[in-house]
Amino acid sequence: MNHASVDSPVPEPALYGPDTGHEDHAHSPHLAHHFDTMEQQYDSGKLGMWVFLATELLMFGGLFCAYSVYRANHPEVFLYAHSYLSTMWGAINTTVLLASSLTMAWAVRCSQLNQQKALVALLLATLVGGAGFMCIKALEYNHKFEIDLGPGRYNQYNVDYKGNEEFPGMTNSEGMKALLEQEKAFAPHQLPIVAPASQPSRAGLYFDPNSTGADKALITPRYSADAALSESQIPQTSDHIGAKKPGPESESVDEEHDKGIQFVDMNSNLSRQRVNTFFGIYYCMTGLHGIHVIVGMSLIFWIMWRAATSAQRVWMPPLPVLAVGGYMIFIWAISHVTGFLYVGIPLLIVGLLWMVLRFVTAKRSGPVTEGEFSDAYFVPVDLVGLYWHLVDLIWIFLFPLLYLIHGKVGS
Amino acid sequence: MSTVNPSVPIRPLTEPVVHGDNYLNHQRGILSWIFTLDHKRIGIMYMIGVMSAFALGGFFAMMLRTELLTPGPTFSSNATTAWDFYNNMFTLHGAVMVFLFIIPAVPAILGNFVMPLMLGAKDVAFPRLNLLSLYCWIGGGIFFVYVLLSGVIHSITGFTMPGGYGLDTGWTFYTPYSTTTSSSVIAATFGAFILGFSSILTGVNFIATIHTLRPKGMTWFKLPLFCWSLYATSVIQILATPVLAITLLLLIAERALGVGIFDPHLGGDPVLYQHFFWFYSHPAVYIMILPGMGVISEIIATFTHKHIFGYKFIALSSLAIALLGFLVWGHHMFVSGQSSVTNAIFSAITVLIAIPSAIKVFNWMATMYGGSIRMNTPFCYALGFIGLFTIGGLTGLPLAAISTDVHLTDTYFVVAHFHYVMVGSMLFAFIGGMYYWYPKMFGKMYNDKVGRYLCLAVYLGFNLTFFPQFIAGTNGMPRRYASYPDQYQIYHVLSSIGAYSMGLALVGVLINWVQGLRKGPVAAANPWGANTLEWETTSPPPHDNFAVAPEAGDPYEMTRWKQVGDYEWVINPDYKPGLNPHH
Repeated sequence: MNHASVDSPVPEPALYGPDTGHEDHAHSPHLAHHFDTMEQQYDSGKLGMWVFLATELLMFGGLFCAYSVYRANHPEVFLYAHSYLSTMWGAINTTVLLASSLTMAWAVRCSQLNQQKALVALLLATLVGGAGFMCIKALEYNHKFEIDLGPGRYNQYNVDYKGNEEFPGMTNSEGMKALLEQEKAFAPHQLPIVAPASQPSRAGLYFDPNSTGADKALITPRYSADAALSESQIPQTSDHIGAKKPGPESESVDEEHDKGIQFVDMNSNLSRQRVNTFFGIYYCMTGLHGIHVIVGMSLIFWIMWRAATSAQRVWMPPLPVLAVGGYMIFIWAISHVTGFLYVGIPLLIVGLLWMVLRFVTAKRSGPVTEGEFSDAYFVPVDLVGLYWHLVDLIWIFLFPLLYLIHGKVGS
Repeated sequence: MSTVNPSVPIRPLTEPVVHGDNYLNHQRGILSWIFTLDHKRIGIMYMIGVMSAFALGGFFAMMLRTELLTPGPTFSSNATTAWDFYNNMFTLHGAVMVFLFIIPAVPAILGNFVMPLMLGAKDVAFPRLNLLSLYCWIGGGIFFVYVLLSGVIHSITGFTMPGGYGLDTGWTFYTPYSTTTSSSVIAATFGAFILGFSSILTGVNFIATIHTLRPKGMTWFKLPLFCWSLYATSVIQILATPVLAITLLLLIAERALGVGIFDPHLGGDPVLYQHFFWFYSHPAVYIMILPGMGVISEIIATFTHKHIFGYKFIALSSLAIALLGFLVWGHHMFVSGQSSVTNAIFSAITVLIAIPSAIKVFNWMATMYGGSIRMNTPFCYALGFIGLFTIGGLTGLPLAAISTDVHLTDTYFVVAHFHYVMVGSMLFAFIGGMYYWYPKMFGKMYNDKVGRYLCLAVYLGFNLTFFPQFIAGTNGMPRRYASYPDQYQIYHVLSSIGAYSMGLALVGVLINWVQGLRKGPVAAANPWGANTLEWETTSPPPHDNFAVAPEAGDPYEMTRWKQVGDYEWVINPDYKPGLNPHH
C-alpha cells in the first residue's frame, strides 16, 4: 500500500492496454476521488451497469409475463390479430437494429484502439440505425391507427376518470352499457358504401376482416388468406369476429375449423374489442421498447459529443433538432396529420440555420483538440454500448412474440 | 475468547486526532447541501425527509385510531363523510409508511451513512447516482403526499386541491377497484413509480459499492453483517422493484388508454395484478426487515462484547431470506382463487422462511449467552426487536397455513401480525440503529438513561396497541373497516390508548435526540468499543471519511479490549458514554 505518487515525465502506460498489471500512481484526470485505481473504477462502473440492465430485464420480464397470461387466455385473438402486423417490416426492423448493434460494438472497439475518427463515424451510424428503427415503427403504428387499432378507444366511457364526451353525466357502468347499446345498434353492413374499396372506413367503430366491402383491411389477415376463403366459405355464424352478415346461416363451419381461425366466445358485441386486446399489449411492449430506443439514442449522442474532436463538434449540436424535425416531417408524410408538419418544418429550419451559424462562427485557428476517449478511458462508450445491446436484445424477443405467432386454436 | 489473532493489529482506543473539520462543516451554505455528493450528507437529508414522512404517517395512524374509538362515525356526524375520511386516511397511512418510510428508512439513512464507513471507503461507488436517488425520493414523495393529502382534506372539508382527488384504494392499488375509482390513481402510482426508481438506484449503488470498494483484507466473510444484510436487501430492490414499476405502468396504461391487461371486461385478469403486485411487495417486506436485522446483529455484537455467534449463518441466512422471499408471494392470495396445489406450494415455501429467520434469532441469543452485556439504549431496542420479531414471526405461521389463513384472511390478526414485524421489528431496529450510530453521525451523545426509559415506553405502547388486535382479529374483526359491532369496542379502545402512548413515547425519542444535539456531551470516536471500521474515524467523520485508509480485520474480534487494558471500561455499566476515559 504505497500511496506515494510518482511524478515522472514518462508517459503513462495504457491502463487497459496489454500491460494492465501496472498500478497507476499518477492519477488519471478521469479517476474519481473515491476510487484508488482506474481498474477499480472500471469494475464498479461495469458492475453497476450490469446490475441496472438486470433491473431493465425484470421490468420487461413483467411485460412478457403479462403477455403470456394474456395470450394463454386469448390464443385465438392473438393468432388472429397478429396478422395485422407485417412480418416483413418487423424483420427489416430487426435487421436495422442488429446492424446498429454491430456498429455500436465496433465503436467500442475503436475507442479501445484509439481510432477516434472511426469511433465518431460508427456512433453516427448507430444513431442512424436507431432513427431508422423509429421511422419504421412510426410507419407501422400509423397503419394501425388508420385502421382504428389505436389504443384508448375503450376508456371513454369512464366518466369518473376524464369527463365523458359521448355519454355525459353517466357513471361507469351506465356509460359502458350505453356504449354497448350504441355498438349493438351499429350495423356496418347496412350502411351505404361510400369509401373507395381500397381504403378502410374510418367511420366504422371497428373493422371487420370478413367483410368484402369497404371495411377491408389494408393488410389482409394472413390466416384468412391462407384458408382461401371464398365468399361462400366465409363462416356466417355469429361466432366470428364482427357483426352478423346478412344472408343465410351457414352450418358448415367444421371443415373451416382447421384451416381458418375459430373465434370461440365471440358472439358478444365485445368481439371487436378483442383485436384491441392484442393491440393493447402490443402498444405497451413496443412503446416501452421505443422509449428505450430514444433513451439509448440520446445516450449515444452524448457519447458521440464527448468522442468528437473540436472540429467535429461544430456540426453536432443542431443534429438532434434536425433529427426531430425530420422525424416529424416523416410522420406527416405517412399520416397526413398537418400538425406534425407545423412542428417539423420550423424545427428543420431552426436546425439548418443553427448549423450554418455554427460553421460561419467556428474558430479556424488553433489545433484541433482530441476527443475524450482513448485506450486509457473508454468506460462510458462501453456502458452505453451495453445499454444499446440490451435494447436490441429485447427487440429480438419482441419480434417473434408479436409478429411470428403460429398455431391453431381449437384443433 | 482469550486467543489473540495475530493478524489483527491492535488499534489504540484513543480518539484519532480531532481536527475541527468534519462533513457537517466542511462546506457551508444551502447549496453545498443541495448539490452534495457526500454519502453522509445525503444520508442526513434522507433522515430529515424520511422522518417527516414518518411523522405524517404516524399522525394519521393516531387519527385512524381515533375514528375507531367508537363503533359508529366519530369524526363527523355524517357517516359518509366519516367513512370517506377513514378510507383516505388508511390509504395515506399505509402508502406513506410503506413507500416513504419503511423501505428507505434503514438502507437510505443508516446504509448511506454507515456502509461506506464500514468499508473504510471514501464514498459509495456512484455518488451522483446517490444524489439522484435522493431527488427521486423527494420528487416521488411530493407527488405522492400531495395526492394522498388532497383526498384526506377533501373528504373532511370538501375543499379540492387542484388536480388532487385523493386515493382510496389502500396502498395496494388492487384492480379492478383502482381502475374504476374516481380518485387520483394515476398521479399516485406515478409517484410510487418514481419512488421505485429511488429504491432501484440505491440498490445498484450498494451492490457495486460492496463488491468493489471493500478495503484491503476485507474478504466477503469479514464483511460486517450490516453490509451483508444491505447486500441482500439491494438484491431484492433491484430484482423486485422493476416488476412493481411495470405493474404500475400497466395500471396507468389501463386507466389512461383502456389497455385492459387487468380488466376482465377487456379480456384482462385482475388476479394477474395481484400476482404482479405481490411479486414485488412480498420481497419488499424483506426489503423492510433485512436491513433491520443487520442493524440488530451489529448492536448485539457490540453490546455483548463477544464475537458474534454463527457469523456465516447470519450472513447467508440474509441471502436465503432474500431468495426465498421471491417464492412466497402467493400466500397473499390464498382466497383469491388460486388452485389448491398452488396454495399448498406457496404455503410450504412460506413456512420454510421461518428457518433462516429463526437461525438469526437463535444466533443472536447465543451471542448474548455468556457475554459481557452493557445495557445501553441501542441494546434495549435490540432486545425489543428480538421479542417483537418472535411474536410477529410466529403469528405468521397461522397465516401461512392455509386452513387457518382462510379464517384469518383480512382480519385484524393480519394487521397485528405485520405491524409486529414492520413496526415492532423494523421501527425498533431503525430507532436502535439511530441510537447506535448517533454519536458517529453527530459527534454528540444523548441522555442514555432517558433513552432506555423511552424504549420501555415505546415497547409497552406498541404491545398495548397491537396485541388486542390479535384477539379482535381471531374473533373476526375485519381490517379496513371504519365501523364495527359493539363487541369489538374494548379491543379498539385498548389499541387506541396504546397508539397514543406509543406516539407520545416516539415524540419523546425525538426530543431525546434533539436535546442530545443541543446539550449532549461530545462523543468519543468509538464510544461503544465496537470493532467495525466506522468507529476508526473521528465523530463526526471528516469529509473524506478517513485520513488513512484503514485495514480490515475480523469485525467482531472483541479480544483487543482485554489486551489494551480497557475491558473494565468497556463492560462497566456505569460508564458514561459521552466521556472518553483516555481524555
